[in-house]
Amino acid sequence: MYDDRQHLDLFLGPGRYLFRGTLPSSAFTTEYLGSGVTPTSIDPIVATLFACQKRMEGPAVVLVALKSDFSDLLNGPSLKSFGYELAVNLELPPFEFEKRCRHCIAVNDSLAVLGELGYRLPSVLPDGGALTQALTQSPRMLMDEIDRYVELCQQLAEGG
Amino acid sequence: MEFYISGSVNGEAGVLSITGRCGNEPIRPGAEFRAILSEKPRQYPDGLELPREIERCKNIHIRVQEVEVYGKKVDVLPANTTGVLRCVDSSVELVPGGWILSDQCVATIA
Repeated sequence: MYDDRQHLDLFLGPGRYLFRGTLPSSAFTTEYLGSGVTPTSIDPIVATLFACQKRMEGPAVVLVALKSDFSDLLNGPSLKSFGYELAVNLELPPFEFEKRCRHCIAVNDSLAVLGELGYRLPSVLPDGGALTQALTQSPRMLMDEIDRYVELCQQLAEGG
Repeated sequence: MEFYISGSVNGEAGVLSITGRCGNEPIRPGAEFRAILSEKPRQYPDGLELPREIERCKNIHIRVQEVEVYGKKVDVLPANTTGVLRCVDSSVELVPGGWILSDQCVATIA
């Protein structure tokens, strides 16, 4: 049922970044009920799809973090059946993760950058079924493309 | 209350373990599902932006006994979070991946 290895391999493997599609903490209207774990992904497509669902509730964003900022906080495991999300679960609540992120990208900017890199995603996912289908049918990015994604997002944030 | 099923296992002592993702409302032990439904597939990517259409809906009964997240027993499965529901009093032996547990049957497309 659980994969005890995948999150570790993803965290220790190639790539410098973790991504999370969500609402900014300030936009949540309900109390945080989670277990103090923040799910992230090593792939910005996964994070952007989550943001595309979250935009139904507010101004969704993609948070970009450096793996090296969370070395002592690796949690796990993930469910085997969700292996396609390439998830790395961190042992801290989402609002703490947000504070420690390096960049915060508006969902439309993330979609635009992914489009520039040749990935066309649905711009909004109205329900969980659409999210699941998008996650299972979308491609995953190569490591050099992920670095380029972060570079382009950074340029957008700096107004370049 | 909805739960998007990815798979299920019928274990010892009649406990049905269902993995998947919670819908927009949190799920707590004691919660009861009374329907299982399937959606009409939508075309990737643009069709996924359209509202869902329910293709089939069947009445069932499942009671959640325990909720598990990231391998730990918890008091609540928060909205949109993946987890495992340990269920009892189930009127079905297994539930298929890709279907949705719901608290009530909804109208299906013709």
